[in-house]
Amino acid sequence: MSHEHTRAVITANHLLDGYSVYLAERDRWVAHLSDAMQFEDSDFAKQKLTMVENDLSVVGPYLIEISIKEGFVRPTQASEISRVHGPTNYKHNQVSGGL
Amino acid sequence: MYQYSDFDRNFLKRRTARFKDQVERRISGALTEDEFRPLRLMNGLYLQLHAYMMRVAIPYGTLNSVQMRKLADIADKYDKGYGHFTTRQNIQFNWPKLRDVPKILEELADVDMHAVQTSGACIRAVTSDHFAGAAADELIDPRPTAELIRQWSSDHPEFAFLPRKFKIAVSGSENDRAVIMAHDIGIRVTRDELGKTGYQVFVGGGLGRTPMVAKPLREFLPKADLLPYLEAILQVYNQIGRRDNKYKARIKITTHENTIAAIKAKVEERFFLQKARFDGSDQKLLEKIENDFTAPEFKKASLEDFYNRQVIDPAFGEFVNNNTHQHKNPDYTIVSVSLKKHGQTPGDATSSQMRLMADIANKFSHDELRVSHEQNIILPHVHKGDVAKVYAALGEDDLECANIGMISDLISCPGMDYCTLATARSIPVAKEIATRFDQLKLEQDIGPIKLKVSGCVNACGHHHVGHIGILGLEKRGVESYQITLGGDASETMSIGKTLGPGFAADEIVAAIEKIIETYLEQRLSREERFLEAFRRIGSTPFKTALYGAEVQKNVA
Repeated sequence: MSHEHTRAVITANHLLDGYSVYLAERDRWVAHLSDAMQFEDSDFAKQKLTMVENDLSVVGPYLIEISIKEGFVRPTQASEISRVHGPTNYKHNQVSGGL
Repeated sequence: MYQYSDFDRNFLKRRTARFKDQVERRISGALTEDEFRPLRLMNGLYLQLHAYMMRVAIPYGTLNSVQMRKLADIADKYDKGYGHFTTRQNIQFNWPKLRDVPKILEELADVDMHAVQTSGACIRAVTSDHFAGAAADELIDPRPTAELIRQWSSDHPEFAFLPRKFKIAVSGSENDRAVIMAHDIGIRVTRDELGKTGYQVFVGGGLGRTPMVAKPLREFLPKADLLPYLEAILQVYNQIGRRDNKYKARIKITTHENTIAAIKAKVEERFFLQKARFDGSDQKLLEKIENDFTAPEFKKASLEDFYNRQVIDPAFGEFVNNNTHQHKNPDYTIVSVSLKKHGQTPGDATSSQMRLMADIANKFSHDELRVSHEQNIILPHVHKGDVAKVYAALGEDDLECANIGMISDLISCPGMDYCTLATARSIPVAKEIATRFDQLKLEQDIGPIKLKVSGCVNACGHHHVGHIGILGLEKRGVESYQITLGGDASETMSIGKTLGPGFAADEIVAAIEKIIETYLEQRLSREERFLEAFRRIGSTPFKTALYGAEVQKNVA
């Protein structure tokens, strides 16, 4: 039986285009959730969030919960799933051009 | 249409220049997001799930062809080639880049358009009957009143920081097509027994998490008293409206908590003082505005083609039957262009569709278009002899769908596909329902019906006042859709009642199908519409069809 566990990720919207971005190693913002830094320790995640809260290149960083199952990373909240995949009514290429 | 003056144009120019500077300061880091947020919202710029969203005002839903073409150009140049017409008669662009927004505002200002007061706790863009100035049943054209309110409320310093957003709608017909009783203030332009023009004023309507039907505040307000009376209402609201809880801050709650009698007494007291401060210049302005809204010069031409073609071409006959409305000039008709072709996103139009509608309006509708709160585009003045040409032209870009008023002509908010507030998706549900009933070929049999879908309790999709309403919620991380029945958005407004437990995303279309099957079984005749049947038989047959008699007992 495969094991499912949850972790935290920091997300935001890019300042210039508003697209979804995720915090990765070395405080870089990346377009794909799979490249994001995952936090097991919630205190450390909160500490990191405080550090990037004033980053002027993004808008409103916040923590989200993700689940990891069989190597696949997926947010647990429906609106965050939508932010990963984009709207269902059109197929847009949504990688932030501001990165 | 109202013609912008130099004052209007200078105002927009200054406003756009100011916002351009604010954007530059935000990008340079001189402004924080906390400082910038209220400034961008004042200029219609939201941040949604996937990107920025820009809401452009279309006051009382009226556009000319140049303005519609400009919206198409903006969609191509700064967005992804389409726009979304909303239940507030506005248009939203879903993918603008921050650096481009001042340029978009400059381009809008070139055609006398803007995004002012499309957000924030201020008086929002005024809405009206999309058939204004054209419908046969209209008593008085509401557009001059709507324009007067637009000018009065634009940048009104006293009402820039209200407890909450404030929406005013104006209608000039007994048949309410502007949902006036779901607005903070609803105004019906009317006449008294002596034939004098005035207003019937309603207050405290609204949908959202606490839906309420507006209550009459004044049965007849003389024409000259409108602005002092509106100021009196706004002053009372500004003073006693709650600022401690945003869910209790709308005037509907103020009215409910204080009682309509108390609000009326306070408004009248305030009005007495306010009236003395008006010197009649507002009425001179109104006279000037009224001159901008004279009827177009209607032509005289043959009607033969209009009637003959309906006989030989059943598809055209269906289009005339569903998509046209009686005009005050018997040789003319009002054409509704459906933005709901089965399987399409309700309210969306591509740039090429916008240009096509602009061309048609220019050629066949005295250069006028309207946006309806039902997310369609209206050509208000089409000579009957031209309807076949309009129909053929619309067909060039998938705009000839003859489903106005049918079940697939449903309202839908953007839902969780775009909106940060949404708790469920609404667009896929709307598309699937439309597609399903098209497959069943039941639409004409069902007849006129109002189905409305919202993706959260804020009710931008007006689900409370749909004959059938669908509310998308999130239950433990899964989308769940609650059904309400018996809502009514017209002059006999009522709020729909929740039928029972919600349905999963893959169950909701089948549930709607069962409701329709029940209606078809229960109706007395084809003439008995869904709402009439519901009011006669109540919710029990529908509950039984959906939940079964046993489950229903347990739910009760």
